[in-house]
Amino acid sequence: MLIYKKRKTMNAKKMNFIYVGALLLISNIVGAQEYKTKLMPKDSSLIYINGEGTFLHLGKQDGANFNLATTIQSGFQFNQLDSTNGKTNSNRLSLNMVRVSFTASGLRDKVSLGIVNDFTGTSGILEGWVGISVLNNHGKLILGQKQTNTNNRLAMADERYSSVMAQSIAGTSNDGIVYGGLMQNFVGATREGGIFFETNFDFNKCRIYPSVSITTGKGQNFFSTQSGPGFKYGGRIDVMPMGDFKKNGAYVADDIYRESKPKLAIGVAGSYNVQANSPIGSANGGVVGIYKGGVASDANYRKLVADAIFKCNGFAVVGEYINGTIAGKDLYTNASSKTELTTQVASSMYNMGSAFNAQGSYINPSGWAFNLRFAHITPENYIATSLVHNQSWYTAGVNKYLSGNAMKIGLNVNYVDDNNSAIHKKTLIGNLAIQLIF
Amino acid sequence: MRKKMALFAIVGFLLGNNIMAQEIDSSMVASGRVHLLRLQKSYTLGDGLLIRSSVGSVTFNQSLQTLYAVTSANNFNTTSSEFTINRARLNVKGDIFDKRVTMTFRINYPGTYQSTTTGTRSFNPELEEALIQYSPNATHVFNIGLRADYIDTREIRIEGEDNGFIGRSATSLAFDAIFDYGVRYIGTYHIGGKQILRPYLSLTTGDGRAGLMNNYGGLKYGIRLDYLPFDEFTNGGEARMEDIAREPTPKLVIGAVCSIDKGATSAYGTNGGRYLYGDAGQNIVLPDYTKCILDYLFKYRGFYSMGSLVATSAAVPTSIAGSYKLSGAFTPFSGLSTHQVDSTVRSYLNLGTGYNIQAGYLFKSDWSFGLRYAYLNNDTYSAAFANSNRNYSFIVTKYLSGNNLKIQAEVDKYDLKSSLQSVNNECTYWGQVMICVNL
Repeated sequence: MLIYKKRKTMNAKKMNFIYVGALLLISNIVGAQEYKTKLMPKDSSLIYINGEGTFLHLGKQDGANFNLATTIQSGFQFNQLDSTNGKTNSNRLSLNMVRVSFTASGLRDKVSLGIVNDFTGTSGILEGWVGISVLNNHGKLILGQKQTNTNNRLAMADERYSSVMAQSIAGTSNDGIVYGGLMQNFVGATREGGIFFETNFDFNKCRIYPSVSITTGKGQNFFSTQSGPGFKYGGRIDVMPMGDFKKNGAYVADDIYRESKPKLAIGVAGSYNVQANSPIGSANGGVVGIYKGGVASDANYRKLVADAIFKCNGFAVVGEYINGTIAGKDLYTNASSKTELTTQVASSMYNMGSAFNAQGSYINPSGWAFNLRFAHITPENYIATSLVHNQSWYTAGVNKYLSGNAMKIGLNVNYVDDNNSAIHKKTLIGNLAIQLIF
Repeated sequence: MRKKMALFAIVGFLLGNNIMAQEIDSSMVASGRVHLLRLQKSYTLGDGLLIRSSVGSVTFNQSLQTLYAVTSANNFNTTSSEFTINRARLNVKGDIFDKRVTMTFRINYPGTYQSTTTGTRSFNPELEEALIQYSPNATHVFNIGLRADYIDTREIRIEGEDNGFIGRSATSLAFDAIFDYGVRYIGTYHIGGKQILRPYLSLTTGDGRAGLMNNYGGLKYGIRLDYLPFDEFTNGGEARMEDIAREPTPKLVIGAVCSIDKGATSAYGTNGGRYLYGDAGQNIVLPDYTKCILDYLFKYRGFYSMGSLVATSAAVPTSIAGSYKLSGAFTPFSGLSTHQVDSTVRSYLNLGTGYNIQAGYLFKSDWSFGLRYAYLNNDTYSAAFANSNRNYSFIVTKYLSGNNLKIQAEVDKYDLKSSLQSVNNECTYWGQVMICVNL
């Protein structure tokens, strides 16, 4: 039997269900009218959930639901770079995250919206999207800027629940610590503007979340006409053979909700970025020197992702693989079309290669969590100017969750061995951070 | 009991349908994560929207200051005027763990995007506060995050909404970094009788809000020592300029501050990354910037007086051999002597002295009058921050609901240095009217 359930999008997921939830799911059990008369709260209501903010329900019939959550994460980072000039130490005090998230739904959940402000970057807006239920509530069509569905699992996670706490600047990371370490080489901006379609259903106790998207292919905060004709076309499917996770647990590295039964999610995602003009296809500009038919052009950027997460009784294991390649015919490095673009030359324009990330964690019932991570990246081709180098990454961290997820204190140590043949760099990064969510 | 039953009823409802059974499961309820919220019953202007639960509270507070100003720099031969949103601030404050842990978040909407130089050095100045604070007891307070710092002049200890004048004094504008990110400690020690000693320790980026995305240079270390001989001010009056509480007995706080920014990259700490220097090998080398302050605040029966004395100095490394342009390119100081390099670096720092003294009286009719005089003097080798070196202000305020609703009218006269004066340009006059509302 196919049973539709409200898609637990990264931003809406903590929202609509508090009072009304997905009406259609319930309509499988009781009729909509019966639901309204029997289950709707009598009056407007206001509750607070530790670590998830304030939830407001207004009205009796087609009432509206709102969620407001404010997050501050303060951090301190120690960085030691060991390179040809010896060891260089540096420290940084930073606001790792300053975020106000407002999500809402109305008209029996037929319309939902999200506005997420992040004040760590130059623009205060991180997400802005409107979702409309379609196909008789069996799917959701979303237009706007939100987390793209074509990145690796941890780059689709809500940074507030990251198991390895570190700085993110308006949904991006300089070092990748938050988004899966070396996977960052193929991620860039985690938000994109575009149109998204999401659905989900059960198939023999197996929950399946498919989604597709057409986005700018140029990252986030695109407030004007995009340059170049190419969009990014992508899709993702998540299969959960042991049933669904608690809340958004499939996208939270630590088992903070403590799954009482084993849960597994396996995901595959792919994207094809037509004429990507940035190295990962997540920004606007940065690639020059490619010609097609004598006219400046860009290569198409392909990205393939496979990942999995397993959780049970506080244990969690995450595995991620990502591969970035380029495609395109008749591409040259000069306007006279004499020198063909090779993958070697392209490797200094685009991030080409593959990376994997494996990490595991355990959280005990009192909220102490311990995690380990290993990540590795391999270039597709390597020349001295290639953007992707052979690198290995090791992380060990500890978090203390207090009052649910309302307060979190984390410490992590990361060692990155960048085995670039020209310059062998070893970087040690330590992060200490504290986070509050209201 | 009624609250518990209501919570039980709601949780029962939540668990009564499948979606909730998943989203708020029994373990979540058992762990006490779901709490009913209630609005504060009473409200007085300025209280904000306060919602409480059994674990803590959250307050949303909006303030607005709208301003009309007219100015003339040539003895009223010509004038110009402006309508301005002086401040429009949203504050969110939350507390948990019996108020021992608090969070403060504040944005000021009129903040506009600024680029100190280029690229990643740009920043968004709408964010003014993002702070997590821990108070294990009444004696000790620790906080980490962004806020107006304690190691600036006493004026900065007073929020813009609680200021007795429309703007801050010229002394404050010349030397106070105001917002910075860092770790701080505040202690309150009762040292006999009604005497209180309150030390503040501060470790910050020294870059202001421009340093939120990237730190430049070393850190800024600061200490403030406040002495209150006659006990605490009434109703937090230490952080409000005028004596609205009408102190029945004299109240005084005297403070001494010293800070050193190891590796300063802006004129006085607001705009980190703006000025970067390098040695012959183009390694970053930066001056150290030291600031010392003496200040006081006195209140008694509607009268208040406040003053600050500031002195700054810098230590410029002799190894500086060039500067970084806004583009990031290194430009050597070719042909400059050591002394010329030193004076060039100093010409981008606010170096010198300044003082500000002001007083006001609040009548029982809620009308108040205030006077302010500020004086600035820049060193020979310094940024030109003291061109208007004598500044006079007079203000009339009508308080309609304390600092939460007030109307202010202010006139100012900023005298140019005598060396800069000309026949029609001796000073600048300002006339300003402002309405301040704090919801």
